[in-house]
Order: sequence, then C-alpha cells, then structure tokens
Amino acid sequence: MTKPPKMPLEPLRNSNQNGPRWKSPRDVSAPEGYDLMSLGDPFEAFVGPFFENRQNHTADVERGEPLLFAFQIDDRHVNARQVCHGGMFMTFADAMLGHIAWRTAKTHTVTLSMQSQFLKPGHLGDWVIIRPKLVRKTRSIIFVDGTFEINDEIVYTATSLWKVIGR
Amino acid sequence: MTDNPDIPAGYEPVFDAGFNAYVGPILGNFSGPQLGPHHFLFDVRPEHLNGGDMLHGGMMMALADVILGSTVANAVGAMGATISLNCDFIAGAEVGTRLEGESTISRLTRSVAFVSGRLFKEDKTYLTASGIWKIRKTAQ
Repeated sequence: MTKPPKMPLEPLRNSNQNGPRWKSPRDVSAPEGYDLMSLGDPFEAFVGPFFENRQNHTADVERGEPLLFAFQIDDRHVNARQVCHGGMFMTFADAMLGHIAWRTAKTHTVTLSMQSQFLKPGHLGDWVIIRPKLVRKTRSIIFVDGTFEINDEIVYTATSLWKVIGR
Repeated sequence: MTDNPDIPAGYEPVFDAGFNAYVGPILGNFSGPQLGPHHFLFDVRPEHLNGGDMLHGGMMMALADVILGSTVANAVGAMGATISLNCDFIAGAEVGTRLEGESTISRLTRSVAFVSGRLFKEDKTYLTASGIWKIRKTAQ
C-alpha cells in the first residue's frame, strides 16, 4: 500500500485572512444540504474537510435536537485493512461532540472522558453522517452523545463528558 | 527499514500505512512478555494540535487505539477489531513532547481481548484507556 504524503503545517494555513485559520489539504465536494465547515484546530484541518448541515444553524441544541455533520472516508483515514481507522471515528467524535459542548457552554470546553463503541466497519469512499446531541448540562460538566451512520446504518456510537473551562 | 534517525533500538513503526502513516510514525516495542506491557513512542507535531495549541483529543484516542490494538495483534498474531474503547483525559500534551505509551492485555479469550494502557511522560500521565478487541479467527 502506498503511504499518503507527509503534510507540513504551512499548507494548512488559510491564505484568506478573513476566513478560518486552517484549511484542509483535500478538496472534497459538499454533499447536498451541507456546507464546508470552518475549523479552528490544525489537526481537524489535517484530517478534514468536514461538512455541516445547513439545518444546524437553527437547531435548538439545548432542547436535545441533534446536529448533522458529514465526512467522506479517504486513503488518509483507513487502516492496513482498508477500513476506517478507529482513531478517525474518535477524532470526528471529539470534534463534533465537542462542537455541541462548545455551543452549549458558549465558552471553551475540554474532553474529560469518551466511551466509544465500534459496530460496523466504514470503507473507502463511504460518507459518514454524524449526529451529536446534548444529553445534560450542569454548570461545569456537559454530557454529549453521538451516533455515526453510513447508508442509514449505525457504525459507531460515543458518549462523552466535557469540562467547562473556568467553572 | 526507516529513514527516521529518531527511532531508538527495539522500536518499529506500528501498522505504518493509511492513517497511522499519515499522522505518525507511531513507534512500538514488543520485546516484553506476549501480553505486554508493550512500549510506544510518539512525537507531538504542529499538525496534531487543537485550537488551544495542545495535542488534539482525537489524536490522543487514536494513539490509544493503535497501542492497545497493536498489543492485541502482537499477542494473537493477527489484527483484531476494536469494539469498545474508553478514554479518560488527564492532562494536555504540548508540541515537541515525545509521548510514551504502554499497554497490557488483562485477559485473552478465544474471541475477545481485554486491554488497558496509558499515554505518559516520565511521572506525568496524559490519558488512560481500556478497551475490548474482537479477535478474528485465523488458520494458525
């Protein structure tokens, strides 16, 4: 198997000063109803791009309405068996469940704990739809769950705990 | 076998293809007992960071998946599949850190392996992890 090329950090920097700080090294067309997501983390740009559903802008996260995100499995995301690496699912889980935590806390949060279950493999070219949702929030801790689906079948689930920084 | 001069004796890149090659190398040393502890090394580079300039949580869990999974693969002689992985985030790691990892199999049955491990540096632990791997039956 050929190795994907090593990517120095500089190409991840967005030349558009008005845009997000980072951009992904791959061009992938957005699926119907989704837009390219603006990313604040170099690692997410490094393995991205990610896409967010336009309904996310109006979703009531605090009432437990799920958000919708998507990514397509490519050669950077698979293991030696050509199926999506568990680390890749967990990276998207950390990013997207974290998005819910951030949107709920309205400030920075950090992952305290994440429990992952891997139900089915994902394959090269598959689109993965991610549905994270808020389960409970306290002043200092936020509980977020998420499911990942390929062709309407659940392939991965995560539950997580987030610490609100400074509380 | 490698062009990286920073690989200490006894270590080799783990499953160095696809995701592992893209984010890695992740170095493993399997010279210990069959069920571990096995030892690992990983250098935190700028592309592994989150927006707060610390190692991204997803990358930390990916490391846990690789080190626990490769200990299972080494013990049974075939790659298993992660079915469950629980990670607790204890501390953030900065760029330039050479993280160490260790993993040990608690119990190996005919069809599953129970594994636990951690990411650390000297006396500081960054992440603890435990998981269950499905073992694929192979003609051995």
